[in-house]
Amino acid sequence: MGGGLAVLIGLIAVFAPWVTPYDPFQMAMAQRLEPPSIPHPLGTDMFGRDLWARMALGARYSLVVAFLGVAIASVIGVSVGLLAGYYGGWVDTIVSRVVDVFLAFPVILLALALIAALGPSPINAMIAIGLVYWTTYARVVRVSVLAVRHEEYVLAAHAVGVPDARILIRHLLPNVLAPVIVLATLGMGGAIVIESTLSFLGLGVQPPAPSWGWSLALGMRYMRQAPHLAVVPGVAIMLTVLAFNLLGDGVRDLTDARGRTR
Amino acid sequence: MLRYVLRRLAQMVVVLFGISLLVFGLLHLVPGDPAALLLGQQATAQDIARLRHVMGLDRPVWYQFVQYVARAARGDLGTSIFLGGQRVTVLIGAHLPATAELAFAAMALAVAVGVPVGVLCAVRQYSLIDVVSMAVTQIGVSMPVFWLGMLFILLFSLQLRWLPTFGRGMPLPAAFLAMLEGNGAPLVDSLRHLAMPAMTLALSAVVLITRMVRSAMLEVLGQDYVRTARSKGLTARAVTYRHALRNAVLPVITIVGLQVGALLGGAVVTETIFAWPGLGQLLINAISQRDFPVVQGATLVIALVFSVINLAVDVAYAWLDPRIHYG
Repeated sequence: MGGGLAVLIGLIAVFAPWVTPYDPFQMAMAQRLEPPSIPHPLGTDMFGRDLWARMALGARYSLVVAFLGVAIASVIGVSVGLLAGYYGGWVDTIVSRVVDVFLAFPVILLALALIAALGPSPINAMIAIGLVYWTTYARVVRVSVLAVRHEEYVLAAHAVGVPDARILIRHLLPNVLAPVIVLATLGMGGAIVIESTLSFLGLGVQPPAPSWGWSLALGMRYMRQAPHLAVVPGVAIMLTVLAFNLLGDGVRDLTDARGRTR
Repeated sequence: MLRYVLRRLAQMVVVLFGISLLVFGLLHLVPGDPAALLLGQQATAQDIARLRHVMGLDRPVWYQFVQYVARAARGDLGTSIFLGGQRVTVLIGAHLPATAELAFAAMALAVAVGVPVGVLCAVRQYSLIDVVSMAVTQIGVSMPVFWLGMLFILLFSLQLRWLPTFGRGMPLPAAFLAMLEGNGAPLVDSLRHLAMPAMTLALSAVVLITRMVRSAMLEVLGQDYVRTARSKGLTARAVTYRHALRNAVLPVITIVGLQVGALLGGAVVTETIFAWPGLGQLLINAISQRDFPVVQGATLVIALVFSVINLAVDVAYAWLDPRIHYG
């Protein structure tokens, strides 16, 4: 179910300009703050723009920022985790202490502090998501590498003179990918929440781009006159996060099952 | 035990050093010259040079870091660039109690709801209440905290008109004192203001605690000593609460401790929605004004509080569970 919903939201994001006849940026002041109706199934916003068109395009921003943020986190985390697990010793000690330092910050606080320094923009939001979440991947990969680094095939590769970089990439990396894929799928939900929170605070995707978070921030100003503006973007965020959480649970069960039958 | 505590303390010193390095480094992540950025486009080269000198940016980076740590250790976190040059420690001191009040209320609410619901779900596994609770936690974990706050405002303020939309009443301790002197109105007002922000902030902790208690209880309820307790003829209530919950509660303590950090983070966003005058609001305003000393100070203090709580949780865990040996 999660997978189907995630695919559907992904398709809406990809085909955003074609899922509605309305231009998400076209203002129509005569139709401002209209509740959901047949011509505008999700209503219109304070500038008379069609909310469905804006939500569809907003999916693109949310998914791209979250996906690239998760990609940054996994590349950093997997690389650091591989090195710490394989080399051990002082490399592992330093990595573990750096991870401890990053874990000393509540997730959203670290993201906000990074945005404060880097400045608000979608690219910086991706970087912030990456720097906030890399520790999870590093810890999981490190433990996975520790479990396999003394296996015979690794020792054999080492004995015949295979360079460390090749052992890490060709032999160890494929063995730690399953938990990374699970983490990345589950991490998409968290990343979408961070992205929408940053956009809600005006620190992520910048207007007039129709991000879900910023749409909610605008909706908050019109809660009395047009409650749908405070509800619709939130439902979009919640359904997307739910979809990736369910998908992540499914992928985890699948990889666990494969582990059991092996 | 003492050796374990000392080792954790030593680890914490390293973490504190790392935290201050990261917070200090934030200013140096700023693209371009922070002084030029702060002064805007109309600033002259002389203005920029003067501000660089005031901020210490004309010194070597290592020197700036040593100075920053030395000052922070003395409780000097610098002065705000925008808030009338006020000392950052004074600003934090003025905003911290409101955040502490909110986080404490949210955690109390989360434990008060999460533990009984978790126990009930475990005792009646696969019943209607279990299925509904698990579905609600799945949805709850997918809801951004700021949206939940907005929905509460829509329902409790705008539709039902039960609760005030934003702001904080009298600080709770003062309101309690007023009640003891016979005036209960300030306490009622404070609690009405606190209700929505606390419920909003509590959500993620409620979800985690419910799930954790449920799974820990399910594990414990299948153990032999619980079966023995049942076969002795003890009541279901005594078995659940006196025998099972006592052992199931240990992992929950860790979650509660870790959730305090998440609550401090969540408070940043929650305070913005409800105009709650805490550290979060101070931080968000400072970020939008690029008031770096305040951003650094608030971040540092929240990370420090989080680290100290984590240490306390670890020590409490070691003390509470005699089976665990910490070398």
